[in-house]
Amino acid sequence: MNGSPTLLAWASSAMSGLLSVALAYGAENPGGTGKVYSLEEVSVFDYTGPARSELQSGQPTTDCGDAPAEGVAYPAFQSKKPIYGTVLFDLSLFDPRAGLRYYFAIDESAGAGYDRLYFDVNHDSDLTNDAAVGLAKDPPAGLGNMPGSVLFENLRVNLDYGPGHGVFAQTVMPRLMKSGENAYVFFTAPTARKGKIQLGSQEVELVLGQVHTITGRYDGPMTGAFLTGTEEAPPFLGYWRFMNGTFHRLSATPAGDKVTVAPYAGPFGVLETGTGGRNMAPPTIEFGWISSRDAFLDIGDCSRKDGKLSLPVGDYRPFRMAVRYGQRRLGLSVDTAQLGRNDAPVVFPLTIRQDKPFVLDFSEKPEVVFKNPPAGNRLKTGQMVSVEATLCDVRTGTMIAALEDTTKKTGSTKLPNGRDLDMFESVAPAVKITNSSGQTVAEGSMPFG
Amino acid sequence: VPDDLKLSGNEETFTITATFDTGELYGTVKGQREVVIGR
Repeated sequence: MNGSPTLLAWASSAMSGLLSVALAYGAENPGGTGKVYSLEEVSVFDYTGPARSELQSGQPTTDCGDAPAEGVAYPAFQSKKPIYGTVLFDLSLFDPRAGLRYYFAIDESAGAGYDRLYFDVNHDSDLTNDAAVGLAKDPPAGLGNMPGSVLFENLRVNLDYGPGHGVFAQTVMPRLMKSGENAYVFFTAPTARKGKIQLGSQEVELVLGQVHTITGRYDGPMTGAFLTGTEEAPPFLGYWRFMNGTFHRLSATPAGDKVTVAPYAGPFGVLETGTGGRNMAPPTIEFGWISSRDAFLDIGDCSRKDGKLSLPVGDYRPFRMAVRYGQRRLGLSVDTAQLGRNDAPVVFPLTIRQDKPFVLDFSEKPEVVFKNPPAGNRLKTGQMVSVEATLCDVRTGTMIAALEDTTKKTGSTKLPNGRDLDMFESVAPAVKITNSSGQTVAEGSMPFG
Repeated sequence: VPDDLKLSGNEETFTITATFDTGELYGTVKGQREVVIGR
């Protein structure tokens, strides 16, 4: 068996992409006074800095296929194979239930390529009362000639966050990309915000953009935030940057014209691991990131003494966390498939308090959750079926997304933040199919993810 | 699902078992899902 870079891929996915919230459920108010800086609006197509490709790519949706969504009214299509899709704007790692779901469909008006977009701009699940959107007549350089890519005219979407939260208008550039039978649609916000800020002793350029998700606003922790001149990995506004021995919190106005940089001056608590009653040394947290309702921290930035981590007081959950225990290294991860669902667990189980250490002992045994085939599924011979199962702590919405055998080192590499990482063989889940007599008819391994 | 899969009758219930080996942490953790396959 060859070594697998499972854990590295798992860790790196934190960077690829994958709100204003109540501080009572998040990290402690930083308390320190902040300094306010002005940001200017820039076109993502005129911007030439290192975040250019992320800003231009926009929010992707892979939720495209040949099946219409239930309960949605569609216009009559010319195409024999219209593309049906859904995009979740305001998707958030920080607020698992956040999200504004929009339906769309793409037609071939002349039977010679996809050239008509129907998007539920007025958000009433009825695409028959939305104007058809044609191809972009004057696409920006770089987007107009991408192979397999079709750019549509800009859309203006009003994102309604409900009473008391406001409506935020946002222009997006929809782009269809076909790869074989698969279709992907990207939504790019054509403008971003840019300016210079002081972070610790360093002056850096900050760019805010709606790269992970379209929100129409810049004040949420999920807002893309790119700093030049720093070797940081997670480009979130909610990521607390650690400079000169201090965490710095960035916050922005909804319009993104002002950003405040405030050093954290609040209390700290302790996160440690416990045995959970097992007759072994406690697990070791190797690296990772944790998030609260409004903050995102790199564990590597937190001071560590005798295996105990010092963290700002708050309620967190593992976003990505690599833990070594005996002969296994496991990758804990938020179950991102649940994001945006009304029933997604909103649990931040790592309760860091100033007066009492939080002990992470892995005493709750996870369970195997099948995502495919669905329960009650009836199949016919000759039909394709994929088996997808994950190992989950259903209560907290956390899953074990990687398992490695630490006795089988395959090499080493560097994490996106520059730290060294040993690589080990992946311990892939085993799958076996038995008939009603208990006889095995098929077996094999199933990749993670 | 192979076309020539032998079925006990017109349809048969099959069991899919997924096993994760977590080592000393939780040991092996198994889960099952039943599917009905027919012609």
